[in-house]
Amino acid sequence: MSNIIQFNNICKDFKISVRKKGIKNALIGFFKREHKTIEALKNVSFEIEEGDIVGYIGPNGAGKSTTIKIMSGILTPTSGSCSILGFTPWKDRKQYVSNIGVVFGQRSQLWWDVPIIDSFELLKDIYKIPNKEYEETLNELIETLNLKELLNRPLRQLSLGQKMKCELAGSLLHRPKILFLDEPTIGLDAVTKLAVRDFIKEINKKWGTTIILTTHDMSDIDALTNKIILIGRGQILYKGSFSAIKHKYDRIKQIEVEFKEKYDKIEFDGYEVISHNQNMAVLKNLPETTFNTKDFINEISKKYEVVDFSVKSISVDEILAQLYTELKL
Amino acid sequence: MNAYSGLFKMTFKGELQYRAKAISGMTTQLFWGIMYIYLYTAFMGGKIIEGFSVSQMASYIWLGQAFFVLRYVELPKKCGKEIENGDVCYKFVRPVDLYNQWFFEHLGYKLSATLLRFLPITVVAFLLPKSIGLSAPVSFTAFLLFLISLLIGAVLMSALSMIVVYLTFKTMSPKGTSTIVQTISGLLGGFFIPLPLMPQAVQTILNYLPFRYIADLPLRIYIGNIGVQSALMYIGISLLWLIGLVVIGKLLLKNALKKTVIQGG
Amino acid sequence: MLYNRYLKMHRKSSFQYKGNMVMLSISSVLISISELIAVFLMFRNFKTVGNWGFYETALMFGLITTIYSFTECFARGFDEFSKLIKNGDLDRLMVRPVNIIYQIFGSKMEFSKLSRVVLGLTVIGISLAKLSINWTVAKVLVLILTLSCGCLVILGVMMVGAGISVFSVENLEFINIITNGAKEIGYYPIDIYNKWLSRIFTFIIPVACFNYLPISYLIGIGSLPNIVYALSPLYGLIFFIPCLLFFLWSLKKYQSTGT
Repeated sequence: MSNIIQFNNICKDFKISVRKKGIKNALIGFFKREHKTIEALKNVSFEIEEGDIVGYIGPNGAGKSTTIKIMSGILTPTSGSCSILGFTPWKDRKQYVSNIGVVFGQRSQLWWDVPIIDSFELLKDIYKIPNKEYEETLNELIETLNLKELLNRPLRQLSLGQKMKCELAGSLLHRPKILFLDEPTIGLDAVTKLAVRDFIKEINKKWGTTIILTTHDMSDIDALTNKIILIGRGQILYKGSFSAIKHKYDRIKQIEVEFKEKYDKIEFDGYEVISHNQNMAVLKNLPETTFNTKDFINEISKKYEVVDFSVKSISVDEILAQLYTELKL
Repeated sequence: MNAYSGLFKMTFKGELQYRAKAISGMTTQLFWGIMYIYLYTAFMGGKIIEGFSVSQMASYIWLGQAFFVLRYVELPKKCGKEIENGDVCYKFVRPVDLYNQWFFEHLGYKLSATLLRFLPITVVAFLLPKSIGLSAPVSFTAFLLFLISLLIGAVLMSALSMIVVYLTFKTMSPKGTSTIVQTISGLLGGFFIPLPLMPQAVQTILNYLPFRYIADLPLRIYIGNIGVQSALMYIGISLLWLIGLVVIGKLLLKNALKKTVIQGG
Repeated sequence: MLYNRYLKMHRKSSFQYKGNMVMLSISSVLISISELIAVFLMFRNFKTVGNWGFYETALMFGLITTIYSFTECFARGFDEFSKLIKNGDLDRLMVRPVNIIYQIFGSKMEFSKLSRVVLGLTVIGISLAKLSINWTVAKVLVLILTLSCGCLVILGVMMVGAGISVFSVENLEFINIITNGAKEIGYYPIDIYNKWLSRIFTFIIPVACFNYLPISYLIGIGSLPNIVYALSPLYGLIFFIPCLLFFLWSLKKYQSTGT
């Protein structure tokens, strides 16, 4: 497989004006403004292979949307080079963008108070999609996303989930080779989330569309992809498989223990007590301890009288939180 | 009153953030002032028209520009959106008098904007030659009465703006409603053209309407076009209007809110 | 054609809220009527200014109103460019394979301004009838040229404003001086203002080139050779080019600075 996206040492600086608190500073600011430069991206390099689904993750303000904007040709970087589908996005904007689709999470490309189908037809004209191809793609999208009843209603009457489905369809009408999704599942209920994920997977499989998505929802990543790029404070911190990260944290278990009686204090070698309440306690193994059910129950029974216990791996969201803390993001 | 002074401080601070807005606002006003003065000088050709000398006209125009923001009625900021999308219901559940809140917010905004703008314009206008600049008030009494009527005019403007709020509830078209009231009250109040240029009969009618007490009366007291005695009488009328408009505004708003809540927004 | 599609979409969308549309149309035409009343009252009190009477001036008013409102209706995207930036719509336009300028034209339309176009055309019609002009083919052509070049001038001013809003949304009110100031200036013959003011609005922001100068030709007053008056609207074309270039440059700047 060949690299469809190649990002080389991309840097991006912004200049912003500084505002301070207080009425005195507001008065001073009225006459004199200070500026400072922010490095939104520092030497960002990565490559993405054709047909991949890649999760682009990082905390708020890490530089995710700046990267997406550069990849979609909206922003020019301060330095560095980038080649997507053989184009330089910000230089060959017009030719380039007919090959990509973009869904900006909380914004809409569809018209607020006009039936969805009209918005689609406008997109058909914008992307100069031939009639036959348009009909085919539209029917396919209607079927997979179950849009039939929505098409004649204006966007303002749709629920969040229905809106997202229509947005996805709208950005795929011209069958882009690459699809950028900026937080596609934000605010969606569990059922719609699953439907959106299934759809993304299906499009990727059926059309071979390369998909780059940003998200804060790690279950998106878990369900959709194994490849992630982690960005923090403008730098790439990790790129590679998600399971490698998961594996690192997989060793950490949370054990909920129920005791026969109420102890004043619970202490146990190699484990940290996260919480303790009445005759219940939650423990976590320290990094140097390897958890083993048999040994654990043997050891703890020597000290306390145990009635019941359950073991839980930490969730993907907790993994990410852990990772952010470790990297001091 | 403490809550209102806090509200005013917030508004003032908010306005301070918009430096460029204030500066360009002032520049706009200076530009208008100069333009109108040339316009009227050309038309008047040095004559005295309807009791206005050229220099009085210049003062009238400059004052109008310096206190521009106070001279027109408009829908209070933010109101339009809240009414249109039904967010106004949330305001209804809060333990504040909605009329007072909007009224003082609006007045505070207008006064803040004026405080940030009027001084430079007045100074520049004072420094200009007498025929095209701002002259001193005709007397100390006139100046005092000018200040009083200006303040009453500002409050009156706020009271009228609250009627716009009610009308917006009725029409659900914030911008359209605001502009229509603004235009009508502006034309009848001397905002578009000095009232002495209106036909005599129209002027008589306008004395009985509230609009001229916002945009016209203070300026003409200042330049001495209206004497002390008539000034006092007009101030009396404007106070009556003020009371009337506040009472009417409060009743109308109550009525409108009741309907909104019943219909569920 | 894509533009037709845009027209259709805007029509559908604005007529979703008929009441609002009616109110906006009324309010928009009401402002113009008030301004016309002001012009009328000036002439009622002062009869003439220089060589100009009420109908000559009303003709100027009609032209300005028509040209402004027509441009405001169809080039609303440039007029409200700061909104396009603020709500992220500009980004949206940039990820589409169509010329940006074309898309900005299509992005917003303000049909309520058409009420003013109707008023403007009516005033032009009445004034022309009252002025008893000896019509020639050249005069008709000059009138058409005036209308179209006038729109270009206003579009140019809007583009400059749009360009500025890329750098600072706050500075936008400056553009008000130019747009609204030019409009007010244009209601009256420009030679009544002092020299530098009339020069600015003849050469730098050429309002005079689509009302005062060509109208002088139509009604046959003025001291310069006729050809100067007749061809004056073409200056608007020259004015438009740097405005367009500035706008394109600021779009480039937007790409490098973002918001």
